[in-house]
Amino acid sequence: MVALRDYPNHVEPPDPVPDRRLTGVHWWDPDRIRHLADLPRHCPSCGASVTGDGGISVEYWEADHRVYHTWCRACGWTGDIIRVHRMVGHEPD
Amino acid sequence: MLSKEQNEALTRVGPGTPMGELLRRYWYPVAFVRELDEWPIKKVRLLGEDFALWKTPQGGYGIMQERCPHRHASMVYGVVEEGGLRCGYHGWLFDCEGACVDQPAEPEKSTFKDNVRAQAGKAQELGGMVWAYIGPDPAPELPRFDVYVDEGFKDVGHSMLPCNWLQIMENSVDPHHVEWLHGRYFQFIGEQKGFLAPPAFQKKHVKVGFDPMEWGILKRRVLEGQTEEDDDWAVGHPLVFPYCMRVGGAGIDQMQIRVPIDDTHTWALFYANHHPEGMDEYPDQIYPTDYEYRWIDDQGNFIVDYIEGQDVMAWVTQGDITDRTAEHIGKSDIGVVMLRRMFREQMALVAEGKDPTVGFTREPHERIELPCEKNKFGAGVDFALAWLEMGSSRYSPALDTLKKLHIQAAAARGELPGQHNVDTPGQ
Repeated sequence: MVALRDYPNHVEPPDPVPDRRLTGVHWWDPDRIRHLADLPRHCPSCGASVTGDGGISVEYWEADHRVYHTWCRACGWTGDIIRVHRMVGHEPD
Repeated sequence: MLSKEQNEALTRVGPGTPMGELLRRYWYPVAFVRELDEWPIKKVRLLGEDFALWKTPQGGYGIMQERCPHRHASMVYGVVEEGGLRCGYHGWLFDCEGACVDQPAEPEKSTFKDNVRAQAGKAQELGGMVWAYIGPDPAPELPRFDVYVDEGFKDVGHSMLPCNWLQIMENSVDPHHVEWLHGRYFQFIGEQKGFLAPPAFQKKHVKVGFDPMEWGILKRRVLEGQTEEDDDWAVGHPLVFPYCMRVGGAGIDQMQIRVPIDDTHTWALFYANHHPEGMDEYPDQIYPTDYEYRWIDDQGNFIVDYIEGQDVMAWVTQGDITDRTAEHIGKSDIGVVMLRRMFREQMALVAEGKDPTVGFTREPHERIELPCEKNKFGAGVDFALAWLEMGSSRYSPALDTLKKLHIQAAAARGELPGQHNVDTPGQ
């Protein structure tokens, strides 16, 4: 930032920098693409799109499971969607 | 992990973007009152747009687009008059509403000025800072949070950081970072440099909780050795939607303010009000003490031997706008997940022409009290002194005054420094 001596409060804000993180090719792209491919695209309750401005789906991990926390703008449904690869049961406590 | 389009939607703050439209429903601090008293016009960048902010001869404030609508000279080099701000180039005069009220070079009977209007916002003073609103009319109320209006000694550290504001906000709903960044990492730095890092931060989180509330998200934690009866869980402290966090303890109330300047810069302020129990008079202040805290040294390395410096390192090294399509978040990050959903919900309300429902009010009021732990680690004055020495306050020109204030207050309470097992500020 550049401060001008004769104007004590005049500080020139820095220019926005080009976005370096959201462009280009990275070594982690195959992993990124694999995860993105599983993102839910439709609300499990009303079937509306949850992509774009239709809602949001955020992936997080819980042990071996990838969980997609999802909110649907159309019907307000909120919940977790978990992709299941193998059904595993356990004895009750 | 987020899709690229969702990451873009959550991080872009310019006009016409979904997040930019949501953020334009809120007021932001853009200057210190002191600055406008020293020179009555200041250039301000907010949400990716440039403005001229000025103090009127009547004592109010105006904010308008930086470029004069005539031929785009900067209004920052204008003339302050009773009727508004006059462009230094050809003398066009704009009032606080953005109306062009004089074009001295045009024919006397010309109505040209009636067809010219500048983009103007609203500006007002609170807590020694000038706040601006640049969204659509009618403007909501400027929330008068306790920190800004309560009596006390006010101390504000600030710096411009080269990263998107959202990654700073996500840090506010990430309690686990405390035991690592300010715990283990601080301990490691202390071992290398030869000082004792505050042990309180090394305590393990047993449980974290997040509750949506009127003003944002209330964050709670139970640390090793604590129960749900302790203030850290029973009271907690809030992320104040959409760009602040409230923390404090031991007579210090602090608002951490993250003003989105543009997509890749955030003005990060630590606004503290010191009012320790035992004192009812405070050192005279015309203005809050304001100063820049350092976060990078002369060699370009992050300064990581104090709390906020560690946070800045984590925020900035994530990148200008962190790539959330490649992140791997877990169960311990559910506060972050919740915050993203809250932003999306509020963006949708604004897109539908409604007011946001979080962190927003149209009700006139005198003071808003936010929940915040008071008994932090039960450390009393030692907590306050550690806060001052291990936080951004170490750069304050008022550091000695602040220490004296807390020690005098402790004496008035019959408490002595060193009486407690010192731990330090929570985040």
